[in-house]
Amino acid sequence: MLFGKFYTDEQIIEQLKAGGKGREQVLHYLFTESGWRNAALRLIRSLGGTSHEAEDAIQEAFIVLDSHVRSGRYQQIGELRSYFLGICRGRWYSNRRSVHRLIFSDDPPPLQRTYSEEPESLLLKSEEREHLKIALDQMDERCRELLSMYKLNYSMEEIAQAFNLGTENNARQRVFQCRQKLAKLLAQNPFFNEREL
Amino acid sequence: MNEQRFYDLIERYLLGQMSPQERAALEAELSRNPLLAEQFAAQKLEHDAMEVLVEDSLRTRLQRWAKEYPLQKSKPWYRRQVLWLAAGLALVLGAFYFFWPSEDGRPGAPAPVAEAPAAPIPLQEDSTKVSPAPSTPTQENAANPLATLAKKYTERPTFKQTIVRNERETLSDMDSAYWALEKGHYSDALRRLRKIPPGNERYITAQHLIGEVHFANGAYAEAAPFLRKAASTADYLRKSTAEWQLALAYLHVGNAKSAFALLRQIKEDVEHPYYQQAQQLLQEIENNRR
Repeated sequence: MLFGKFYTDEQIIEQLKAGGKGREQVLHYLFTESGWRNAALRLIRSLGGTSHEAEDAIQEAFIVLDSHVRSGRYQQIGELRSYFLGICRGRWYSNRRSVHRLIFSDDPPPLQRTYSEEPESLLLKSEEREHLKIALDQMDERCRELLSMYKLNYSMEEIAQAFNLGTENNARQRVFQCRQKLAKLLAQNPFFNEREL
Repeated sequence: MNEQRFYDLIERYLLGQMSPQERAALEAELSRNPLLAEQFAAQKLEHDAMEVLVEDSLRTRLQRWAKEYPLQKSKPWYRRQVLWLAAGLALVLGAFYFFWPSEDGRPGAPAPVAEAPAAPIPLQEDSTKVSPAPSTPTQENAANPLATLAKKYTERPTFKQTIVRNERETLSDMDSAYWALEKGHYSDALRRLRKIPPGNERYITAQHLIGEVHFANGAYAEAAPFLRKAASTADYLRKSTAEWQLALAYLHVGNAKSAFALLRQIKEDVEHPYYQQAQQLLQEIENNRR
């Protein structure tokens, strides 16, 4: 069912995994032109959510989708749009649970399994994320951007161009320096020090 | 393996640049080599941190895009009611104007521009009556300008939803049908899909797929009753796709009245996934009529 769609699921997955500018283009397309957002809005409204709640869940869902595809967690079972809508539904439910923590609800469970984790594991992840952010906040903006591009598989040539570093070797050197700085900051953080890596 | 080689290998693993075989080999090595496992954990933590950067950067971008491209909110119910009321009133007035006898006794008013041949084509409601082969020739009338327009908007449905990897893995008619569809064995797929009875939870899916098979083969009249069933489901994703396909099918066979009604209905609903297409198509039809 590909009416009005300009990227196939395979192309979307390929571009997201490849990273770089192709990933940006495909994310922009998915967010602004694919109709996925409106479909998700309608879904969340049909479940009783507001437009505002839907927008929050949709944005989070795009981040999760991107991460799942890049990390290989998305197994290419079924349509990518259905998977995305499943994430939206899951995000909306969990956002709602966190807002109405003490309210017992008869809401139906999500119809399709997308991703769910144990509360303890989520809590640990959230704590770990906080500590990762503490380390990242101590780095300069340039290093953070550079490492973000590196993680997204931008080539050394593209990184050199983006940061006016001249040659690929300079870019490689700069990435190495930023990585060393990050490793040092993480090693200094007691949260990561005290636990077994 | 020296330290640098370990480092590079782990980097390739964490950046998703390894083949499945290489990944398996490294994972096996990790379970055997505690030093390598330690190195891996350290590099993975750095990658987790970099992933936070990627997510934050995407979050910022999404927030910017959300402002630039706000979600289209549906009109409040009373506005919809007013629109329907206005449309109804316009229709009644139009009918009066058209049928009110003029001074010479003939129905007044010059004949309006013909909307399109509105004669409904016979559509089979019973799935069992559909011809077994999906290779029915197209029923589109070559002289039908609406069909030419519809063609521009018509894309062949794809049938890549199966998780079944080979025929032997198929357990049900639905799985077998999906497998057959993916392989392009449409007759076989139709045979399997027709076996799914009305009480079955996959019935509507099966009916929609039958419609899509006919649609994909240009047998629009045969596709219509199945698409109509799919369009009446509560599952809005299926419903909205089927509605759009049905509107195009009606245009292909020259059933302008039903097509316009459906396209206008889609156009009324700004959240409909095919809202823009319906709007454009109606605009093009309008332009062609001028």
